[in-house]
Amino acid sequence: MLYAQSIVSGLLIGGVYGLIAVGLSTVFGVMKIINFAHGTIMMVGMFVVYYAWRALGVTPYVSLLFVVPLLFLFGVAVQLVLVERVIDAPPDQQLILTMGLSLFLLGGAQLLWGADFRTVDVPYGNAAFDLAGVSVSVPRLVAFVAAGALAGGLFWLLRRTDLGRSIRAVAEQPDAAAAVGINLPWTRALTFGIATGCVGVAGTLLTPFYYVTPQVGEPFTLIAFVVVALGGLGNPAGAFVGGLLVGAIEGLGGALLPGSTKQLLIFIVFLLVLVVRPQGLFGRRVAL
Amino acid sequence: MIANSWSRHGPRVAALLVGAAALTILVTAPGMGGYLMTVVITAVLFAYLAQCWNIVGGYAGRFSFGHAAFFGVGAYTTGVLGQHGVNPWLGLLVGAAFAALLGAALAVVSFRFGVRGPYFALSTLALAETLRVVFTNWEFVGAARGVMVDFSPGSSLAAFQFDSRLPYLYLILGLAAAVTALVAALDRHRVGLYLRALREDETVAASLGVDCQRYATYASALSAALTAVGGAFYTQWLLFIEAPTVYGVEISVAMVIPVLLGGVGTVWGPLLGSLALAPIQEGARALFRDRPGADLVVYGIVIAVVIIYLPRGIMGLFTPRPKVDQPPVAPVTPPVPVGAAR
Repeated sequence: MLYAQSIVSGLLIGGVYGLIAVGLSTVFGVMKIINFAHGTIMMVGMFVVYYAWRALGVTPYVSLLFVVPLLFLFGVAVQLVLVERVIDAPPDQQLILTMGLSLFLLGGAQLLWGADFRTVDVPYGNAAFDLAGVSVSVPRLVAFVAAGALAGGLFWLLRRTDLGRSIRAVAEQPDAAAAVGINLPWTRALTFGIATGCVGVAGTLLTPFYYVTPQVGEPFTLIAFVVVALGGLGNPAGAFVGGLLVGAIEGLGGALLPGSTKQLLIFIVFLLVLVVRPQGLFGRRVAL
Repeated sequence: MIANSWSRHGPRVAALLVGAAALTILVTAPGMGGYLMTVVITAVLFAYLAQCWNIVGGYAGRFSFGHAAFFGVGAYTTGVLGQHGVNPWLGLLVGAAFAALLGAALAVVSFRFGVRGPYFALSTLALAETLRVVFTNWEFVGAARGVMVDFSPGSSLAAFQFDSRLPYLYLILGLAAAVTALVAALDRHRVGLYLRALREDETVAASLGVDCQRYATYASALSAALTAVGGAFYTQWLLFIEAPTVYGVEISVAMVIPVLLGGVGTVWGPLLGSLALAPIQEGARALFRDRPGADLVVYGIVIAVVIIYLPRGIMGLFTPRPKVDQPPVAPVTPPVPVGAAR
């Protein structure tokens, strides 16, 4: 029963991992850039949610209304101002640039808000119900369902809309896409914005049951890498499934391993996947 | 080797600048206040570490984002063995040997499975993070409490412990000079050319007879061992280590940034970068009154400026871009049987 409980808790948070990883994977699919600042951008969103709740009493889910547009615009700006300048640079340099952005945001958050742990105290934060002997946390379930729905929406957008088709075209053949009149910088900026918007949703969904601190984002970046590595870089559908898998592994790790070693299992899986199967479990670029 | 007029000039200016800075430190050191000296020791330690990283990250082109793994192995081996009565110098050697093995294993595995570029960077990061978690939970090495080194009053070179900060400063200056001399020798030696060749294009290097795997492994092991020596110094200097610090991302980042700023894969770049970075960092700390985060903001801005405007670092300002039609590496005569190359 302990294992069932751990796996269920893990799967629920795994949905959020999946959503975070879908953004990372999409950006990689289109720009061939690993966005190391993905988790720290989520952290910025979580602080917006925290201060909206603290100062104005806005409950986290309502914050989505402004957190998502805010992070979308931030992502568009990051792409246009920073990433666009290194779009043809070697991959190492691109990675370093996003690492720099991550350090800047982390340091800026520490300067502005200090390194304390904060929590958004909402009445439904600890709500849970019993399902066949397994306790299911309500905010985690909400996060899971919403993350799944949004990831589904993103797939629909990529497959069925003109914007999605142009994004996929840029991912597939940038030169040909430009030749048929697709604005490359703008499409890339929208892609980056969509990814950061998704991560804004993920961050918001986490706040009712997760602490907020400048350091909160980095582990999520690493987890998203693991997820994306499992699912295959540039394969958003694989990324979501990978998220569930990593959530379950983490849940099991928490039950099997002592202390704070549960992350260990994730890093080991990560190393193994990177080394043995860098194209991911499901192969590269199925959906994008 | 490539004896054009420009390639002699830039490095000389850089060497002059770095030499002047080192001399200034050496002369003014006895009169330095405690705080200033701590700042200088830290800066020189990271200049040393940056030079160590440069061997594998710069020359061999393997961008490691997890060199804290080797730093931590050196720091922990010295600290833990010291707790069991082993002389720190011996601990330093054992730590360097462990790190060399780890570095060699990393190179062999990444070569065997073709882990390159960003994937290599991420896997080194995962390696350091794995060690961080393991050491934070491993009772034998003090788990979350870290390792405290016993201090017996009195200065002694044999015990690697000193009453004042000054000997530590001399020691780390000596280490930085030694590793720079080593890199300078490597830069002129054919092995340095092999490393640069495999950085630029592994297939071409291999076709010219460079045994890529062998030299990448040497570079990785050497860089790891030297980094571990820095970790051992850190243990003996601060007398306390804990896994979140010595295996932390901050250490890895602090090793990489000076090299990026100064110029990747050059003899003087890492030192020039450290020289330029230290005052900026101190300025930021003063400006933000020592609030945590100031360093990171500086790092972030430095990275963005360097990557976007100075992709070849400060050394790139001294030395004109190599012409496209001129190969970056002089032709290499096959030193090994063709069959040895992959």
